[in-house]
Amino acid sequence: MAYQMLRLLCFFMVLIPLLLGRGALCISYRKQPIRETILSDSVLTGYLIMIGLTEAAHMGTVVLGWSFSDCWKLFALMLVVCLFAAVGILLWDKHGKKNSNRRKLPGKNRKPVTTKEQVLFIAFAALVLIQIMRIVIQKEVYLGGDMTAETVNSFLITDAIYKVNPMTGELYSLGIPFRLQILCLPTFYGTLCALFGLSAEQVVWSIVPIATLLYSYLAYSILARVLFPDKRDQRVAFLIFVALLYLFGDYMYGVDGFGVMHGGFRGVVIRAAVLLPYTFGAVMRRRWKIVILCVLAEACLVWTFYGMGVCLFVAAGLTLVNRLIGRRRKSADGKETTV
Amino acid sequence: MRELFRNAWLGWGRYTENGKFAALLLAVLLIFWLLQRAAFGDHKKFLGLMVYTSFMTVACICPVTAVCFMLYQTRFYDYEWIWSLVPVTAVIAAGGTVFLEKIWEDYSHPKEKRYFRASLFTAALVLLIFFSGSLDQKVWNDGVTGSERAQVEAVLERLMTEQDEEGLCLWAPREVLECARAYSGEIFLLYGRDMWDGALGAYTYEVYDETRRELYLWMDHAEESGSLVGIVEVLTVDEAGEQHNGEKQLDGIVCIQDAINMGANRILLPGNMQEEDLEQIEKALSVEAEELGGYILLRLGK
Repeated sequence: MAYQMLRLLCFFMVLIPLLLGRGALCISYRKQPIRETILSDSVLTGYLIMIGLTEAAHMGTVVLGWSFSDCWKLFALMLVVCLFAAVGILLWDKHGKKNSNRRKLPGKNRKPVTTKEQVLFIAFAALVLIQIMRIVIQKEVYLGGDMTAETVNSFLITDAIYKVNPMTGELYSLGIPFRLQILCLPTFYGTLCALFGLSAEQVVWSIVPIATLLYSYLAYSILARVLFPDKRDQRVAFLIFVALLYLFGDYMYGVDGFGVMHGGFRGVVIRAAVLLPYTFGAVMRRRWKIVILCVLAEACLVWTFYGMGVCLFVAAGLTLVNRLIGRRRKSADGKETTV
Repeated sequence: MRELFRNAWLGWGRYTENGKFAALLLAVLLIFWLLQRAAFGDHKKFLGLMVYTSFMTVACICPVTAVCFMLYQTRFYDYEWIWSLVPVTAVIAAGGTVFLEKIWEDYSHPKEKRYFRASLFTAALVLLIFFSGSLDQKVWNDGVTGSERAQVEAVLERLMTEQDEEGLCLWAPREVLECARAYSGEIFLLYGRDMWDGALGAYTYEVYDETRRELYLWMDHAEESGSLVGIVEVLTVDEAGEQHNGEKQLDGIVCIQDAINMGANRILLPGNMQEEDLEQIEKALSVEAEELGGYILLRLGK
């Protein structure tokens, strides 16, 4: 069972998103060399695409009244098609690289890793390991106001989406609001259970929180690259601080550390720990297509105000601030030149 | 709207009551604005993020703007979630990184051998984060813990193995019901976790009838007192349709009979039930009670 879980984590939550994201970014940012597209970007973009595919299959099922097995089979089919497309794009890109007029990056000029960086990286890895162990062994899941595991189980047993009350197993008489029916996370987790033969508890309370934790560090690593572009040791130090804040900051519902340690499967936590840092990083790098992807992913995961969720608000706010600062700086430079 | 304002007004107090990460955030922002160049050096990279964070922090603390944010996030989510708009973790981590860099720059000159002082400052910084955080006090865990869950799941596994074609419809104490549907979708319940977790009410239009509510109240009473008959607090509705708090005597045998009528075929009673009460139940319902993992099991139906 542990092997199955590991396979799911490595294969489905890392490798497939990596391929999907790499292909998507290769198409979206064609003018940039592939090496500029960092690994974290690819995995996170791939993850968001997977959420989009789940949403498509989920909505099809909800609207057309298909069974849950139809839903996850449709998802699997779309995923395979997208994977083939991604591999094709990457091969085509590699093939056409020699003839392309893309901006060339200088050769491998990576600085050697210093002892200081090694020490910092080991400290960071140890902290992440402690967090993973805590999630897997302690299983301190906060269930207040959440019924994800129950919902996934009801999908799997009835082979239908939202036909029975997840809390009791009885048929719904009044049903649930449509604004909640459109959210695709339980379908995504149910699909993972169906594909890998794992229980809802294993997927929802162990594997997904670990994946969310790792995705969160990927998102923060991108932010670290933006804030500390020249110094690798500072970037690792930044991640260590994030890890410390997660580890010691699990004191209350609504705090990032608490969400990641005790509820990494919830939509609001994925938004706070993955989507928002990724949005900040994307806005600061002016990668607007990624921002759009984050906004759409949030609408699929969390009940938002007619789709205008926190990611959109944050992106708009930060862009506005950056524009105002840029304009002020320009006018200040203009004045200095006049003087 | 009044409730929303009240939440926003009290929210900041609640947010800062247990941990002090908000104080760390304010400290980083203060240091940034007071010592921009000295502390953050090339502050251009940080400026946008810090201006945005400062503005949003003030807006989240101020009740009027906090209410606007709560309306924007559809009212459904608590005050705490409006802090998603503020990159708390990112800004504290960035501040800590810059501070650490400064310490090591100032104190780690190899010739002066002041590594010790730099290490001391680093340790102090980590301790500061530790003391601002949880101190391992779990202020949230009112549900079932990992080890309790394992015990309950062992009981559920036993019940599942003897399940017949009829299926398993269970009525049990709160901690068992809390784990049951997450453990297996094949277990049917008379009522679920949404009976006592009000936040789950937002997910459904379904409501429980009075009988199920009484079953829940009696089971809670039985868990506490171990007795068959108990007086519980109930909400009563008068002829004018107004709700009042009242008291009602609930008889365990009547409740168990109600549960059977609703389809329950396995009933777990709390392990602390008194002997004479159990004998009464066995006699009245013609069933045999047996001990199972710290609970009393009544097998009903086939």
